[in-house]
Amino acid sequence: MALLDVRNLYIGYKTFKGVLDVVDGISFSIERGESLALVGESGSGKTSIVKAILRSLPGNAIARGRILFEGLDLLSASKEEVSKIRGARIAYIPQEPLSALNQLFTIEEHFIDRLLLAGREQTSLLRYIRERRRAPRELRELMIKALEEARIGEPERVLSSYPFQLSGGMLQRVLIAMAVATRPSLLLADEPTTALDVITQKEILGLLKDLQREMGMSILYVTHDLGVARMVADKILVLYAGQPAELGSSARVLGSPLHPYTSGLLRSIPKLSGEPMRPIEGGLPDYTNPPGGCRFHPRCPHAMDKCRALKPPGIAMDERLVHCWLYEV
Amino acid sequence: MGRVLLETVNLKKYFPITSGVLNRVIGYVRAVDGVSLRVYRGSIHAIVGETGCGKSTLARVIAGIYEPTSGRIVFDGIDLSRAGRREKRMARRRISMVFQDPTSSLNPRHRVLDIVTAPLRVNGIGSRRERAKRAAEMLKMVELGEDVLYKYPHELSGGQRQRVAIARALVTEPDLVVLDEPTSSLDVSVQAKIVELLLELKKELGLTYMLITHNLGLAKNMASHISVMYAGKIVESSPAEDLFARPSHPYTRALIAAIPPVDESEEAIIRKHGLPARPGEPPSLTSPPRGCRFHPRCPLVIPKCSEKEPPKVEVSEEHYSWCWLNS
Repeated sequence: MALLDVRNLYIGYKTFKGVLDVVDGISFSIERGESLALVGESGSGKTSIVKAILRSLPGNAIARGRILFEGLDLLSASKEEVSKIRGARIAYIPQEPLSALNQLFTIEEHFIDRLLLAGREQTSLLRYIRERRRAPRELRELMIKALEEARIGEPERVLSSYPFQLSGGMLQRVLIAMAVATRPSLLLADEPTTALDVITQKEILGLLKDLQREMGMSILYVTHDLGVARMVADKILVLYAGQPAELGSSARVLGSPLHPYTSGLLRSIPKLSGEPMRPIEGGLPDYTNPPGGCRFHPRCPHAMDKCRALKPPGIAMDERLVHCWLYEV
Repeated sequence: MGRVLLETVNLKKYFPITSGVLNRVIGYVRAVDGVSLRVYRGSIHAIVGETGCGKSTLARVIAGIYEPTSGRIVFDGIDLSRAGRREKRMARRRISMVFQDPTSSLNPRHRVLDIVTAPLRVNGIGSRRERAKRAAEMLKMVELGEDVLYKYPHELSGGQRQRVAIARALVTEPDLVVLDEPTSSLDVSVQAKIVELLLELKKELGLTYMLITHNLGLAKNMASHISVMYAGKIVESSPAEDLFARPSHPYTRALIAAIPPVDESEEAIIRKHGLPARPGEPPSLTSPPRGCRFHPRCPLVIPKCSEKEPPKVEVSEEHYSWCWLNS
C-alpha cells in the first residue's frame, strides 16, 4: 500500500464571483521513502493540494475525492484523527522561513511548542503550562540532536537565537530540524528554497535528499522550478490550471516530455546552454469559467476538436501517465 | 566593441547605520563598494549576483534614485557627479528603469494612461493631448490594446503589468534602460514572452540595457557582457560567451555549480565549469572580510587571499577577474 494515495481530488473555492475550480481531478501516490514533486506555475493548484492534505483549507473551500494516508482518508476522517497525524507523522516546511516564525520568540521556544503540541488537537492551559516548565530540560537533547541532523554547526547558539538573528538558509535548516524531529513518514515541502539564493538552495536540497534516505521518509515537494524538481524528486506530476498534465519518473518526464505543456514549459525557461527561450502563447485561464475539455487547449499548438470537448484521461505509455488526446490509441 | 555609453569609476554607495536619540553614525552598510564598469552602446550588460550583493543598489545609483557616496558616473561623455542641475536632468531623462515587481512599482490608484505619461508630465514634455497620443503609441509598442489605457493595474495580469512598466520606462525615449530582475516576479511561461519583447524593443529602438539578475541562465540568454558581483564588488567581468567558455573566478564557478540543471546539456556545462563553494554565507556588508571577500567560502583559497585585496587581471580579451590565482 502506498504511504499517500490521492485519488481524483477536486478543490473549489466559493467566492462572490462563483466557484473557482482550482483543482480538477488530481490523482497520484507516494510510496514509502519516495519523493514526488508537484510542478506547476502559480495558480496551478499545487499549494491547495498541500493544504488539503494538511486539512487546512480555508472555510470557503470544497474538497472532494480521497486522500489516503496509511489507509486513512484525511478528507473524511474526524478532526481528532487528523490532529494525531498532522505535525507528527505528516510534517510541513513552509516557503518563507522568516514569516513562518514569530520574531518575538527564540528558536528554542518555537521548537518546544512544536514538540509539545505535535499530534494533539488541543491541550488544557494548565497542562500546557506544567509541561512547558519542564520542557527545556527534558526536550533539550532531542532538539539539539534534531538541529545537528539538519547539519547546524552550533545548535546551542541557534536555540537561543531569535529568528531575525539568523540567515534565511539557517532558518530553513531550523524549520527542517523542527519538521523531522518527530520522525514523520511524510514531509510536505512547499517551495522550500524559493526564498533562498542558489548556493544555499543547493545545500538545503542536498540536506533534504540526505534526510529522505537516512530516515526512509517520503517527501512531497511543491515547486515551480523544473531544475529543482529534477534534482530532488523521484517522480514528477506536472499540473496545468488544476489538471494533471503528466506523471512519471523525473528523468523520463523532463528528459523526453510528452505533454505539450511540459515541453512548452521546458522550452520557455532560460538555459545555460544558451538555447533560446520560446514562450507559450497566452495566459492562465479564469477559474470561474475555465475552458472545457483539456484546460490547456487554448494555448496548445496541437489542439484538436476533441480537446475542447472532453477532458483527456490518463494514458499510460513510456513509463508514465500522460493526460493528452494526442496519445490516444 | 563600439562606444562606451555608461562608465562608472570606483562607484560607492554606503548607507549609514545610526543609533541612539542623536542618530550617531555607528557604521556603514557598504552596498556598492568601488564598482568600475563600462557599458557599451547597443549592448546588454548583465550584473549577476545573489541577494544582498549590492546589484539592485548599483542599479538604483545608476538610474539616479540614490546619490552615490563617492565615485563617478559618466553617461555619454557627461560626468554626472560634476554636471550642473540642468545638464544632469537632461541626462537622467535618457536613463530609465524597469523594476522587479510591477504590482508594487505601479501606483494602484492611477490608470495606465497616467502611469505611462507620468515621466512626460514630470519632465514637462508635450501637451495633455500629445501625451495621451504618445501613451497609446507606447502601449501598441509593448503589444497591449488601447483599451488598457483606461484600466487600473489590478485589472491586468502580471505579464500585462510588466508591459505597462516597460512602456513607462520607454516613453521618454531613453538610451539606457536599467532592468532590475524584469522577469523574476512573473510566471515561467510568461517570462519568455517578456524577454522576447525586450529584445525586440532593443533592436527596434537601438536601446542599451543594463540587466540586473540572479539567474545566470537568463544572463546567458540575453546579455552580451556579464559582470558577476559579490558583497559589493565586481569579481569577474567578461563578454558573455567567454564567461561561460572560461569562467575564471571561483565565485562565478560556485554560482554555476549551484544551478539545478533541467537537462543533460546543462548538466554537462555545470559538471565542466562548476566548482562548489565551501559551506558558508555571504559576508556582512558592514564589516566585510579582509582581502578577497569570497575567501572564507573559496575552495581554492591561498594565504594571500585573506591579506590583500586581489588585483584586476585580464584573463583573456576584455575578460577580467579579481582573483589572486590569476596573478
